[in-house]
Amino acid sequence: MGLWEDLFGKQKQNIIKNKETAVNKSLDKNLEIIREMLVDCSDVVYREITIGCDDKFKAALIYVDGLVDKHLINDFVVENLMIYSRITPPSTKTIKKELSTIIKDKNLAVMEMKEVENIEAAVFDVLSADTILILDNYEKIISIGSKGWAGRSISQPETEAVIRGPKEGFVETLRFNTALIRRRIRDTRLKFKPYKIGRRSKTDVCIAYIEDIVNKDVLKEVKRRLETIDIDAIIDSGYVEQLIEDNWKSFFPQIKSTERPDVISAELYEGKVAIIVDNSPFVLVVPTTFNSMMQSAEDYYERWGIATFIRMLRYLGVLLSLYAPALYIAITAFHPEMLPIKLSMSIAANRAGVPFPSVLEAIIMELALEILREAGVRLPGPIGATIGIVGGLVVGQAAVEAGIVGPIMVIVVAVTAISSFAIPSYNLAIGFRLLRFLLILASAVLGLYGVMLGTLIILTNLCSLKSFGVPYLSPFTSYVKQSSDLKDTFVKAPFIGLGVRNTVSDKNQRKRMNDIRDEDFNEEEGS
Amino acid sequence: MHKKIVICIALTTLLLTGCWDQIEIEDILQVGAIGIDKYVPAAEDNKSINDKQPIEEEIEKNLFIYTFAFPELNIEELSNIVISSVGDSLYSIGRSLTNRTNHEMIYGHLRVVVLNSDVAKDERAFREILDEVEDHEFISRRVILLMTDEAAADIINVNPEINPIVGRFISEMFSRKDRSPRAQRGDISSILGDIHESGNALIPKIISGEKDVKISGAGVINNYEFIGWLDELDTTQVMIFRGDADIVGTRIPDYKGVNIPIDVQYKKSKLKLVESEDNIKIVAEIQAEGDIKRASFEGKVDTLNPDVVKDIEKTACDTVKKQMESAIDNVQKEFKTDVLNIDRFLRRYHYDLWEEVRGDWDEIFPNIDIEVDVNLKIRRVGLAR
Repeated sequence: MGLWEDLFGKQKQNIIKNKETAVNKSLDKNLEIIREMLVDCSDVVYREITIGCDDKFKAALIYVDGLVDKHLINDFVVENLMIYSRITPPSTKTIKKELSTIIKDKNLAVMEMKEVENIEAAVFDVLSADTILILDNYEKIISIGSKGWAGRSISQPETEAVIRGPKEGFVETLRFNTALIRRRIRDTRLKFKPYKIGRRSKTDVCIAYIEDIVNKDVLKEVKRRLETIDIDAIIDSGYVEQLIEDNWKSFFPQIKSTERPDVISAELYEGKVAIIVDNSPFVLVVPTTFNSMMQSAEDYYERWGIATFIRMLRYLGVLLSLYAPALYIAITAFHPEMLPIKLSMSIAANRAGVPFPSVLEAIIMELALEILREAGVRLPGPIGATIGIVGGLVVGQAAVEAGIVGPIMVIVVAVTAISSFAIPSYNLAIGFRLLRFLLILASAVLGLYGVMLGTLIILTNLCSLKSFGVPYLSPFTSYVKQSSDLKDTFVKAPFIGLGVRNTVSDKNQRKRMNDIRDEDFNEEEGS
Repeated sequence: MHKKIVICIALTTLLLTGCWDQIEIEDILQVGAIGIDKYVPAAEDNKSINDKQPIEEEIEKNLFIYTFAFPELNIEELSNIVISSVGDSLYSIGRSLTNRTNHEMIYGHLRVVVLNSDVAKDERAFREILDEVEDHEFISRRVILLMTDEAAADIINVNPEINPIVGRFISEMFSRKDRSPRAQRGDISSILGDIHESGNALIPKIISGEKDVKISGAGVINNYEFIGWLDELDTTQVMIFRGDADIVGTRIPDYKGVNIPIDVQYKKSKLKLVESEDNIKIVAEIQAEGDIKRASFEGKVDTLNPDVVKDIEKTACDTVKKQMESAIDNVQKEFKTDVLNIDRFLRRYHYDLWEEVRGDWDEIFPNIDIEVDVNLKIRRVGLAR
């Protein structure tokens, strides 16, 4: 096809139409149709068998190789159909009309089984790792649940490691993930509502919520937004996140994603909605606030004092990772009189040999750091650590000694990098990474004034954001309605103070804990 | 359309109000100290101040020599760079120095301004300099103003051994809490406060040594004019009188044949107006606590005996009182300048009387009666640690 044709040729949009073909009575005909649909699909396995002593009844099994549990099919389907039907044969007379019933109810020793009435549905089941059994002279197809592919086993989530707390993380298989949540919420009111999203991929998406605690408005909105997704394929929960978030222009993630089932369960108990996407170990939680992005699971597992201290450190980390280089530029290049005289002299003396203005110095170092970070992700584990040392220490030291950058700049950049790792939510931290560059530019042009302007813009954006109807900065922005949520922000109240759910949850289910302990556990008898 | 207008307005305000004065921190000269001397045309050309070929029309501009000190950019070794130039004001010299330096001079970290006493003798020059220092947008109100009877440039050129950056050295000396009040507070905001109020002030005096400088005594300013030096002992007494002194070392030279050093902490100084028909009489009540710094006194004085301590107290009171009276006498008779801030006291608390005397306070002040009532209590007779 020529370039001309490529650019200006007529386009034909092939839209996939959903047709429904009824199952034929004849096995051969059905097989023919299915073979035609799955032509050139080399991973599909067809197995035609005959049932009964006199080989009168034909049947066929179809499945996708690699997706199904072959032991289950061999031991409890094929063996039963082929061997046991011959060992204890019912008379041909009796089975003639009720063959299908006998097979379903008496012969197939498998748990999951259903019947489908059209061929497209049956083929979809095959592609979803079920095995279909087609019988001759029967207008339905039996679909046997035989999902059993090799997947990653449950392991510790690498991005959200904790010292204390459960060490299991979500995996790529949706069913395992729902099981991990169910193990923590043994409540009939925990619901997993399934969706299939993606015209071609037909990815399983599942929203989880606790029926009576969940915020009904949010739940309705989640359902509405999921239904509006019209895309050919969903590869990861990141797709869903970006397709349903409130404001795609913002730098801030409005949906929290986590690999930890304990976090998801805790959020469900707080009245939020989780969105589990098949093939992705990252489960989404809505609505999400800035505050909840700054929390880590461990805050709740350790004592409140240290949790409070660490949370404040994290907020300090946010400020440092956002402002450190911008402030350095603004103060050294615009307002040196703001520094104490000794510090100002030592910075000036350190910078004396540096050929670049501090802006360029900052941008060079920050870019170098970003490249290092990106390289570190790509490189295999042991080499990644080496690169960190070589890049960070050796190159930094050499750059200082060569007089390309000042030592203070290296400190600033290192502090920035370290503090950005103090932010528990990775996607929030990368948002700040971008904003840092904006602030560097603003401070390079306008000094502290620029930093303040940038701050105002960021704050305006933060204040205007909403996540599924909940203000992003709540509870900091709405004291009237949500003042009780402040107990779990900068300060994490002692556990006994967290007896009330946050205000996102349903109004009638706020209370979660009664303090019926004795006044003092250690009180002595009779005193 | 509206959006465009809003964006235009936002952009113009943004670009018109920003800080467009970017200059890298190593490209500025952070002036730490300024010395101001009167310019006397020398017989031979002075290369260091570049007055080799003054332009005819500008000769009248050559009033002062300004000497600037700024630290050299070197972490290992602290040292000062000194530049001098001739001109009539900080501004014009700053302008002319742009042709002599490759860095911009910034006064944000200025710590010390030293005035030669000859400059301060000229009322107009003194006013001009003060006004310029006060008005300068970068000069902090904590700048220390000092006077000297040597060349101010000599003071600036001293590289004190402890810290060769002379500006920082002097300002840190003034910020010491336990500094002896032999020179008064030097920060320009308090001096300007005094001057703007009455035209009178004390400006601490500085003298240079080979390897250090010393602050002692004060220059007396009467109506924007320097009239003389108050020596260090008198300065101390004035400071005590005004309640500005904190710790003063006192001694009773010959108490029963021994020398008793007392560390005195002054707590309060309260003025009182005593009504009398013929003359204004002021009583200053001074409260202080003392601490005897020796213990055995060769057995001649028993400091553990309360009666002895009471007696020492009384003697100490008398000593302090005597010193103070002589100092006050000096201020009243020799300088005839109210640096004791009695005018402030009268204006604040006895306004009617002040209204009567304000017109010729300069003549009245030397003749008023000032009585000192020292109340010194010895609290400790030897500390252990």
